[in-house]
Amino acid sequence: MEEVRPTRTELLQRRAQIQLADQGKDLLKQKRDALLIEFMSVMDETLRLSTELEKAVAEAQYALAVAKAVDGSIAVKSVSFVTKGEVSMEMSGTKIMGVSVPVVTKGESPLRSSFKRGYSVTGVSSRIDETAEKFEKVLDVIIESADIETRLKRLGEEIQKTNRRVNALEQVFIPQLKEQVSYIRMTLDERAREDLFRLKKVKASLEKKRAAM
Amino acid sequence: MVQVAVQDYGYGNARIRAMRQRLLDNTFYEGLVELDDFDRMVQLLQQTPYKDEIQEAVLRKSGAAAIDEALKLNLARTFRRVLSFMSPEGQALVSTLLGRWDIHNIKTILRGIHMHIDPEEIIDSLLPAGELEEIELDELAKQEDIKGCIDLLATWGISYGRPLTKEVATYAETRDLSFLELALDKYYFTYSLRRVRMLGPNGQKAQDILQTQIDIVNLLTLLRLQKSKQPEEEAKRLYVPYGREIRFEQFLALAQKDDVDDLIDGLLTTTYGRILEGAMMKYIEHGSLAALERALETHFVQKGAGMSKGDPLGVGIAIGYIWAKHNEIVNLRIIVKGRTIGMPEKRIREELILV
Repeated sequence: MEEVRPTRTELLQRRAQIQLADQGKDLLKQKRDALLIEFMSVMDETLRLSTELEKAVAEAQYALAVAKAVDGSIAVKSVSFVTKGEVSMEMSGTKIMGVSVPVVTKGESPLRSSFKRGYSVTGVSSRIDETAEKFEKVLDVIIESADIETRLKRLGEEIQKTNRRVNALEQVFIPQLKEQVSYIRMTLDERAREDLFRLKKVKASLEKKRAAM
Repeated sequence: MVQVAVQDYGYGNARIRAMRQRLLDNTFYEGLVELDDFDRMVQLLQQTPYKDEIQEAVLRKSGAAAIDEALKLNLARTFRRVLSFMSPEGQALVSTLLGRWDIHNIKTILRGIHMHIDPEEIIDSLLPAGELEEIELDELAKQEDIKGCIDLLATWGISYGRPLTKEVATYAETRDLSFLELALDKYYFTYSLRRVRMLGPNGQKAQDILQTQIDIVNLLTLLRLQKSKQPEEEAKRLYVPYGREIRFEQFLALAQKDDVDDLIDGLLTTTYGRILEGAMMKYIEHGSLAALERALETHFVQKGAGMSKGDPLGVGIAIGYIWAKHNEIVNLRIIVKGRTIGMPEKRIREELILV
């Protein structure tokens, strides 16, 4: 225990600290609850997107395998050389309950028509075309997921941080202060009892002297 | 080397008939489809004419990629062997049809150079089954830019350089490779048709194949135009002329149809209407144009492979064999790849084309 001066002023200071810590704890709990509500709604969206992404990836991989089987790996690889492109997105930020979260906004959609992928449709099978389309869809969902998953991660981190603070107040700081208050109180009581005892002794001695005179 | 007269198909056809005997039959496909284990598939394939190529490919690649490589090697070698048996006229006809591999190779090289892909990687994606030799393709793939590649084709006097030279300015302006590819596709068909028309009754067979191929290319373009609702100008630009049945006016009218049903209704007067109508259920079930494309491919493969019937002394035997061989390779790829990714047996069987 840190060194505590067992004085009445110290006792009053400690009591004020406990009151402040209690208020802080309540505020942090409220913040944590609000973050949890936000977290749960983001979690639902993340789960939806994650299922969508899983489905999109499975479909794209299957389409790719079918295209490789029917058209051959060399035909698929040849087309893949030219279908490379750029993905544009905007990054900004917002605050949820004081937590900074990035906002990823899709620019031009990565979904392109067969006529815009850079190859001529007259020489490419629709299987390869549809494979490209499915992978573009994967890219689209990934961008959407990037925004929501980062938001979920940041909120999760903040909830953990807030929880740690609540726990520290609730289980360490406030009990310590309470222990100090009780120590000061005990010491002051002890002193009061000693003073009373001494006073009684002095009184008894004075009375004894007075009786002897 | 065997010397044959310009139009003598007897010797070549006898050799090709012998090769045709070695094509795998439906019982073999069935046996392969039923195998769960990849190693057993490889063992079974090693008992076929693919043995040498498989042994060669497993040294460089593993798994399904090794089989893919082996099939690729076998296809290129088989086509070269077929050409070596043919009379000069037969060689001209067959190599014209195999020109589609040259187109694939040139496009792959252009795509690779356009995206600055490593030449080794480009070369790995080529299939020297056409007229262009491996050494020529390697040299083209090593060019630094598109212009250099086109100039080299022109310097060597390879006719495919002509449409590219005409369109290279558009490419330089737009950086859009599709202009070069479209020009190349159109040129291939026009040039090939001109070549085979000069070769009499045997040329007629090759012409029939090329024109059917043009129709199929146009039909697939129509299906995509319908899906993404492109303007008429785009339809005009993409039309490949000189097909068998699909004329320019009909193509433009069909490109304006509201849905696939209407498009197919408009095709009912042609050979392809019924074929596409038959595949409509599968199209609706999977929501994929690939179902319709596969039906057209089945028609095309059966037509090509059927060329060998009733033509013992013409080029039909060679054309039929080439189509049957290519189809065999595709079937094997479907089975091996399909089993590797866990495709259901039913789906594998649906994808196979049996001739």
